Amino acid sequence: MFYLIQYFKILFKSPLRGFFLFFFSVLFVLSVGQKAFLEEQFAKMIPENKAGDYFYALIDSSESYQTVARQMQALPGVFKVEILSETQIKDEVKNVLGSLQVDVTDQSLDLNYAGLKIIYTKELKPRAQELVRDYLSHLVGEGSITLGKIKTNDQLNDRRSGFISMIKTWGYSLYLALVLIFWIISLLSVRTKIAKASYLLESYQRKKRVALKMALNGLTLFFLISVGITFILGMPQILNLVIVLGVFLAGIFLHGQKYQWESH
Amino acid sequence: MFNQTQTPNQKIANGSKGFNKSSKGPVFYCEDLSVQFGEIAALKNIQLTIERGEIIFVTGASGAGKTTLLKVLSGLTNPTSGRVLRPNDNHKGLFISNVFQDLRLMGKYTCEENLMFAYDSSIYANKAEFMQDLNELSRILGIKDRLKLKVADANGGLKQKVAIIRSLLTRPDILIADEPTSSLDIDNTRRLFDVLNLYNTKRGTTVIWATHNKEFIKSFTGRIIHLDNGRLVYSGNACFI
Repeated sequence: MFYLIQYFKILFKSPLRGFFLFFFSVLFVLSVGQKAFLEEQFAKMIPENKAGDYFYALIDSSESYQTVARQMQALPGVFKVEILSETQIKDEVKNVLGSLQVDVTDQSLDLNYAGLKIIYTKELKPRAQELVRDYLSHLVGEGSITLGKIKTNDQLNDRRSGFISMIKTWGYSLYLALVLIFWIISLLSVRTKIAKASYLLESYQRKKRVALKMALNGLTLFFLISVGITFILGMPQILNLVIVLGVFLAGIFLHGQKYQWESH
Repeated sequence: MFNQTQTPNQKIANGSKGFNKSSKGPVFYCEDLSVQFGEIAALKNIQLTIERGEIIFVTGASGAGKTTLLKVLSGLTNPTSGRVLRPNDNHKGLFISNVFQDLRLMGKYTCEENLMFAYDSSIYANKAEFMQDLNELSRILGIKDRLKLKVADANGGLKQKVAIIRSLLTRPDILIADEPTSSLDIDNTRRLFDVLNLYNTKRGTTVIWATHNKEFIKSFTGRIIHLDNGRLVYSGNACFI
């Protein structure tokens, strides 16, 4: 009890450092003990990019293209259907003609089409892609629809999905590494203070290895509190907790080094 | 000095028997002790025996080797050659308390909190007994009203008194003090020495006190060990120096 009281006396003298050590101790144990839960949370936080290849379809605007879009959206293998209005289509045509230096007016453009952008789900097989196109043609009627070529997903999308996949693979590990680093920093930030107090207690009381005993008491208490909190959130992974206990023990033995007052 | 059947070495080596707290006997024994720091010889061939209950003044000019000798006796520095036998070598020895030149106080703590580092439940019956000693020593040295002051805000004299009181509160068997009164005036130094004398008489505390003030110590009883350029040039009564 003496060593535990001394440990907390030192932490209360530097409340911010003491708080950080406690906070990161809990966070560290929690993060490792509830690994599966946290990985799931990571996956939920970052939406998966399911968008795959796509194609455009021009539909006679007399057709109920919004109903068509809804029906297509419900189709398996379709990730998303975007509606391009008549005005958008006109603007696009004007852009294309403008780049070809063809002068056109709104009156001369008689485009009564609505557009649909059908985006497949990722990695949909070509056969399934064709089935979706056939279904659309059948739904609208072959005479009222023009289908564009299937285009592969753009580069930007690929880069984004690469980043997301990296986060999914390494996100938890990166997070854990950061928590561990902050825990070590908070541990080191109180180490000298503990060593100094321990030096004085050893010099002026008949006691030995005070820093080690203080750290053993203090960090063990932090570990036990953290394990308690981890259990509140659900059954933790016991093996992981054993590994964290090993890290805590290493942290405790970090205080075993003999302190030289002159060097500080 | 020693009985005929035992050399000083044997007495010390015999551990608790050699260091019987109730009897006289050597607490330190140095034989051809030399300490070298690179090219500099801090101590040269020191032969020294310090008996239990003695008051020793270690004198000499700056750089004469006083601090090094005290550090060797405290076990903080090891000799380069020769040997030193200390009471703690057998782990059953006497308790040595140091007053360091740099005082070694916790700046963020109050004077009282620094003194609390000396509260050892194995030597005090209870905290009240410790507080009684603390208050008594604080009163004698005139710091009772400044105990709540942070050490970082204290002046040199107050810090020195706190460091000395902390050492005395450990009820040491041996007190080793390196220039403990350098920031104190003559009145406070005298008061402090009266306290040390009392500890020496009542508790048998061995006092080893390094100082460069030869004139001051002439008025006290005790043995003077005078160092000059790392050599022990005089060991004897103060009145003969």
